[in-house]
Amino acid sequence: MPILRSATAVLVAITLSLPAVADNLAIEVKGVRSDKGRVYVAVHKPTENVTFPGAAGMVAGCWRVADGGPLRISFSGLEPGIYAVNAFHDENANGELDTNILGIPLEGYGFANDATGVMGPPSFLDASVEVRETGTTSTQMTLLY
Amino acid sequence: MLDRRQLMWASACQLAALNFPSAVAARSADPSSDGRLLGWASVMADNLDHPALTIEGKLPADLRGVLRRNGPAVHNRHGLRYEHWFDGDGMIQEFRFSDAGISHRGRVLKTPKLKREDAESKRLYSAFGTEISDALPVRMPDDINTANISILDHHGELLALWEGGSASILARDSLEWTGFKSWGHGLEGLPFTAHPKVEADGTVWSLGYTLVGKSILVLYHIDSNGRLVKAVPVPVAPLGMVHDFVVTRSHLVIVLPPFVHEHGQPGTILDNHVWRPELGSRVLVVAKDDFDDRRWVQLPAGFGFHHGNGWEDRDGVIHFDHCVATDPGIVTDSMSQVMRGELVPSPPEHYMRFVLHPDGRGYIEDIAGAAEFPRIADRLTGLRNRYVYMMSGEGDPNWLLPAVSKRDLDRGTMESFSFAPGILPEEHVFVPFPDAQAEDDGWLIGTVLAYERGVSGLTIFDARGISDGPMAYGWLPYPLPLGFHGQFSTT
Repeated sequence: MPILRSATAVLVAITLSLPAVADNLAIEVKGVRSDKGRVYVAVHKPTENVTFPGAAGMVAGCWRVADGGPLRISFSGLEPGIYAVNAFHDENANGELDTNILGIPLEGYGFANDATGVMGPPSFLDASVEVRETGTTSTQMTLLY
Repeated sequence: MLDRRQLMWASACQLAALNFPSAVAARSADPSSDGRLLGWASVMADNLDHPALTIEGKLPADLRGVLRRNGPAVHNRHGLRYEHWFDGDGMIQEFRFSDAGISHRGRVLKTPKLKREDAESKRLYSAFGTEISDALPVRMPDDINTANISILDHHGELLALWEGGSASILARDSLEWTGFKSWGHGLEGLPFTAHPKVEADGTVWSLGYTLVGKSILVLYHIDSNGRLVKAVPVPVAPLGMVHDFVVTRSHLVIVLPPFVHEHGQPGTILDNHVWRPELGSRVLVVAKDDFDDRRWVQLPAGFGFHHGNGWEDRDGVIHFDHCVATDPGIVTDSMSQVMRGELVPSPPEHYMRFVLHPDGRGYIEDIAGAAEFPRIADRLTGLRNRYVYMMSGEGDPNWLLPAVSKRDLDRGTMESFSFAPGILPEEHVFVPFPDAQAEDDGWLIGTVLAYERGVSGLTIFDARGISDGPMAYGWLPYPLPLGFHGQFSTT
């Protein structure tokens, strides 16, 4: 299940490039089980020929140092529309979501709306939220290990 | 892949010619009327202990060690009865042979799946053959790992084996579930068969399969110290459950029956398996020293679980044995209906010899009639064996085999012992004498359910003379659910 694996290197750059405008998507990540490593969050747009959560569909992302408690992460400047959100806990701080050779995650991960798939990621729509012209869309997820 | 028409199957029609009384009526719909159904009752307690089985006959003075068996045991829990024999949570039954006689302890394995369910006092997941209406999604195979098929004691590590997910590590002293076995980084959570092949020097060959999401066989080579040499994923489509395989001197031989998993159907994993006899059975032959060296052989369609042994002659001809039926009715019908209290027949599995020539020629021969749970002297795994021990006979229904048999594969003879009415035998394993010389110098040890008396027991045969009947029985004061596979260890 490739969630963010190849995309993390560009997360910080994307975050820094966002214009300084008001937050319009707020995500609470719960269930972080330890203070080891970092928690990565990514926001995706539906993208042709990209299967969610493929990195090519990612439009924003960031990481926070894990402190063992819930994290609140906000994004700003997102165009109104439908976005899917996922996160993972890079507990060993190697910059990627570790998986086994079949792609099954070996570190904690989660999706907006606490969407879960069967032996794979949930659909884009199940893990999606709507960002409107005004106001802040809030969502939450609980990481599963 | 070889063209099927290139093959010359001397007796390819035999599989289709197995007689099956298709119109036999369902029996015993009322569980209270048929004592045999005790074999599928849920186990009476998660922990069972009995210090000394009641011995009938005479125990061999030099038989020391432990028989550990595994099988689904928790069929009913939290107000739900599973609807397939394969679904119950696993339980290890341990029989220890010492100066004091035979002791027993049974332990239900508290897997993460069972712990989660017990914590919430409800069944949370649909199982292989049971659909639960408000089930949690299965994120990864080990979410529903019941560790309920077999056991492997290798290089000091005791593993309870499932086949859809990881092997489970057990504490040797307590038999408690302690964790999922990882064979290395990146291999966590990979499926691992209930029938790994352990050669005389301790080398292990194994496989696993995953059906949902991806359709992949995983092949393993593990050394005698329990260290992974290699693990290779092999995409195979279509693919269904793969319960067993054989090894020869140079190859792994994996029979893929055309009972394949097709994604996206409603229902259980079993419901998503479709019988596609037009595909035939495919055999994957893999070189041990190079898992990328693979060839395919096409066979007539058949369905089976278990193999006898496999071996390869100097000309590279592969010989292997397989219990095969004409279709998977045993798993789709009989093993689900029994959970509803109905003992119904299904196409019988016959003990067949398969011979594959390097040029694609081959033949299949029915050599021992109805048979299941074949075992050999384990030290001959992958080498030519003369004897195979198995369940056999005319059962009622046909898959409840009433006899323990020994087949002489060289002479084509068979001797059997049929248990008295009221007793259901299970798999018997070959245990060599401490000073064994001949291949059959040993005991054949297994469990029986004396359902009319409501107790389980052990039987010990002298493997040199099966037809003489057991030299000793050991009786428990309670019944155990019928299980699957065991291993005898000296410690």
